[in-house]
Amino acid sequence: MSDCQLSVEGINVTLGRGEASVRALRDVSLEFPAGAVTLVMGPSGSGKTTLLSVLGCLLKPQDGRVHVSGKEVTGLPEDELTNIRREQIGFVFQAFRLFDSLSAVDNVVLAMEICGKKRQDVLPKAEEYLDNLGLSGKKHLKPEEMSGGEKQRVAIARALVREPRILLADEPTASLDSKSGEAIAQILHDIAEVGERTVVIVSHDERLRGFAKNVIGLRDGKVDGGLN
Amino acid sequence: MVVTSLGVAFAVFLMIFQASLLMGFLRAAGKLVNATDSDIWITPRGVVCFDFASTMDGRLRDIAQGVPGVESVSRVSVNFVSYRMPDGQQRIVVLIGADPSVGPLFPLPYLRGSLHAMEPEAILLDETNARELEVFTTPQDVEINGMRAHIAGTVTGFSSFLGSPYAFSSFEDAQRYSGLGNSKVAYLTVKVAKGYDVNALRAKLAAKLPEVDVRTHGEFEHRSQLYWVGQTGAGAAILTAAFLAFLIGLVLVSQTIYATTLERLEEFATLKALGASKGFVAKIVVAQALAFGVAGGTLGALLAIPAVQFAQKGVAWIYLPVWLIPAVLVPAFAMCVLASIVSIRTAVSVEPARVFRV
Repeated sequence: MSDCQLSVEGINVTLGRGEASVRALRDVSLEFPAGAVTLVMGPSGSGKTTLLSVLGCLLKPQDGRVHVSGKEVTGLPEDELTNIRREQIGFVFQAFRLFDSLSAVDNVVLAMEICGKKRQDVLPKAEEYLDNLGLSGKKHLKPEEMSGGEKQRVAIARALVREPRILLADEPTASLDSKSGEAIAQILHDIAEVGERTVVIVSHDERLRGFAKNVIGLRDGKVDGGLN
Repeated sequence: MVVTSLGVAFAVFLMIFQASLLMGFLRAAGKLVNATDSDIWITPRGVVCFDFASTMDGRLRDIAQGVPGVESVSRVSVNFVSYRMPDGQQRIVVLIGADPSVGPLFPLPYLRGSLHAMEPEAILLDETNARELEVFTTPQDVEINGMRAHIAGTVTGFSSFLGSPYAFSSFEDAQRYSGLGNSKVAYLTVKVAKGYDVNALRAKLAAKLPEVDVRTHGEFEHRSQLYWVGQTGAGAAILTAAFLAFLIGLVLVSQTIYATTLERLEEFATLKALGASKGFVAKIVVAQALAFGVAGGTLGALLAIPAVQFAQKGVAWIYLPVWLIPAVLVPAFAMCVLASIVSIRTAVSVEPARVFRV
């Protein structure tokens, strides 16, 4: 577990109530090593997104344990889970989830302001991250003025600017054309390998297999195929 | 953003416009009282407002004049009279006459270059009533209660909200046209000599003149305003409309801000997923609400000012004092913040896991 910053052990998650309830995850135990991309694949309804929500401390499992950076977080109160998300986890979403009223750089700055930092103090760092992701000339554009690939790069810059040890990406290439998707996959791969970060990608996209060190299959809430 | 700001702007516009009607009504109710240069009013017992005067003995003026501390006493006449227009039609007007000492701001038909001598048989009208009374040029001969008079000119800012226009003349002419002679008077206005206390003199006059009411200038002004606003259908309607507009405005602002928060739930979920604390989310909600309040409020005020000016062409007494704008904007901003506080609960309790829904 020394290089493992993220793991789940025997987790069960049931969504909904009564007759409408669904067992989204069943006794799932997994480890996600640092320095590598772990790709979680599976058909719709297999529990991929639920797993990502649990890993991101957004959803508490009914049973089992979740460890983030060696600390069990399962029973922590909401405020502490918020702190963990803020300090240790970065998110990349399929729909980008950028703030339309803010420019690219302000979207990145906002992630730092959430940590209580002042705009003028973090602006250079935000610009540096956008530069590194090839967005030098687009920093002051609004999301609506950018392509899907550019938006996803902004979202990655936003996720990385706080230097989290863990990056969780939900279908990061689903809204992109093949060229942009490949570029984003390469960026996520580099983040994991060069930055020694734990990167977990949930996706249907078979092209991502080539960028992942580990591939996990999920089906009906259970692990369907172990680590490759 | 635009829709929310427009919602707030409409609410603020409504609040300012209705409040202007109320302010104008209050001001008009005390306008003629305020136009006098007086400290104390002596009125027949039980008179409720300036416009609805009765009469009292004119000799009271001499008694009041003899009280130490009284600098001058002026007579005021107020009567409803019949006004015959050049085409023979008749209208009821409120004929108001006063002594020249009543004050230089009181509209009276002074002889040119004089503030003491008045033109005989001369009448002044407010310019907004002139066309209605078929006065297109001055001087113009008319009849008042069957007696000859002439419109000598017009004044501004003295339109009546009674429905019957005001006409202004000398005290003597007003009494003559009203068939009263000089032995009766509607009001006496008292100017207090320097160095004397108004309230003390008021008490002294009240003791000396027990059969009439003696009030300070402010008391009589407020009494007139209270009567019109509180005891007449017109005043009650305007007061109620202003109050309702204020309530509707506040509710509109609240609803608009709340609806905007609901529309942005996804953004708040993203903020929470990114690790924003409840305090941070709350701060964003309040800041947003204030931004909408400032943008919408400013727009609403900017629209209300020309709207009130335009309305003055038809409703001359509508009045928008400068202080009324902040007086409306401050509660509107406060309501934005209050509405946002209601919204905060919704925003901070949004489920962050919804960020994975597409």
